[in-house]
Amino acid sequence: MSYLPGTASLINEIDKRLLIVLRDGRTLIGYLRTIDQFANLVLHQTIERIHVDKQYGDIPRGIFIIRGENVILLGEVDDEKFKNSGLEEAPIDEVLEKQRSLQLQKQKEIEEKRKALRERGLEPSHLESIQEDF
Amino acid sequence: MLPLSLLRTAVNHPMLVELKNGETYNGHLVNCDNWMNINLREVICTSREGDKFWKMPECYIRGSTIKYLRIPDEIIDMVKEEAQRPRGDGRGRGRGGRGGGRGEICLNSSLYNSHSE
Amino acid sequence: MLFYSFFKSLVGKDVVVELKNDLSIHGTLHSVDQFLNIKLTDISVTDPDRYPHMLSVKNCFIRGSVVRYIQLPADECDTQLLQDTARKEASQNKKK
Repeated sequence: MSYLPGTASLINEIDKRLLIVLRDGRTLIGYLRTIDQFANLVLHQTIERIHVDKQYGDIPRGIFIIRGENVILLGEVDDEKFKNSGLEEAPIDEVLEKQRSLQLQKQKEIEEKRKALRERGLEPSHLESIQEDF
Repeated sequence: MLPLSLLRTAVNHPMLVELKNGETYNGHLVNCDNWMNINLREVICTSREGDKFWKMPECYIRGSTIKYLRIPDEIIDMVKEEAQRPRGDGRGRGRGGRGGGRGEICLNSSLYNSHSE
Repeated sequence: MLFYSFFKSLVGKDVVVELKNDLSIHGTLHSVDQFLNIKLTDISVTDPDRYPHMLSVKNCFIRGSVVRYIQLPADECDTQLLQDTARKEASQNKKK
């Protein structure tokens, strides 16, 4: 690796409060404390933010060591943009309820698809156990 | 300090490991290596849906299947203490909050040396 | 290293990055590294309703391994130069 200008690096993001999106669709917000060459991350004072439509709820989670390959992106939360986003915080129980009903719906659809495939002689592959919901 | 060194500091502490398939393993860290392979003891495994549980005295988890690990908050304080200890030398603990300079040097040297092109 | 150098020449240009999770992010290319990790500034998401968490993010770092496509302005790409450079690298690699 080089120190050439124009080189993307996470070093400048250290100690910043960042928003992390994981491959399974989770959104985490925490202070980035350390990184390595695989983009493994250590997040401090992390919260998991659950979004349903324009509402969100936060769950405090503490320290995360995240394996780099599960990270989709890291973003800096901009306070201006956040104010204009129309996102509103809601009690976490409400948000979790909404999320649960959405997930039940999705599960039903997936089951129907699987059934249709099975009827045509196709079996779900082992890769399906690793779900990437986004 | 690197993420894997933080993990090494967490040996003997309880932690939660979530795998890529959504299963979670709660247990005490016995050992870990450079590939993030870990050994836990007194483990409770929870299924992805959160409805099935298994208890086992120990388990080995291959690093490549890990999504993330959650460790107790006190580990970060332990790390800060460790960083300050070698600089103690009778000069007191007032030196560099996070072990600033040394920490960054460690970061740079491993980032720009160990991964070959 | 060819694409790393190529993207370095595009720093400052507007691009759209499409990820493997179907999320498309429009932004200005700030920097790139040897793994083709990308930093974008002033981002906007093309389908914000599906991805509400991106509404408050202005700059982001995208891991190279999750990128499917990077859409570039056609006039920024000298395809002739790219082809020549690619041929040169291929012949150099053959000699190795």
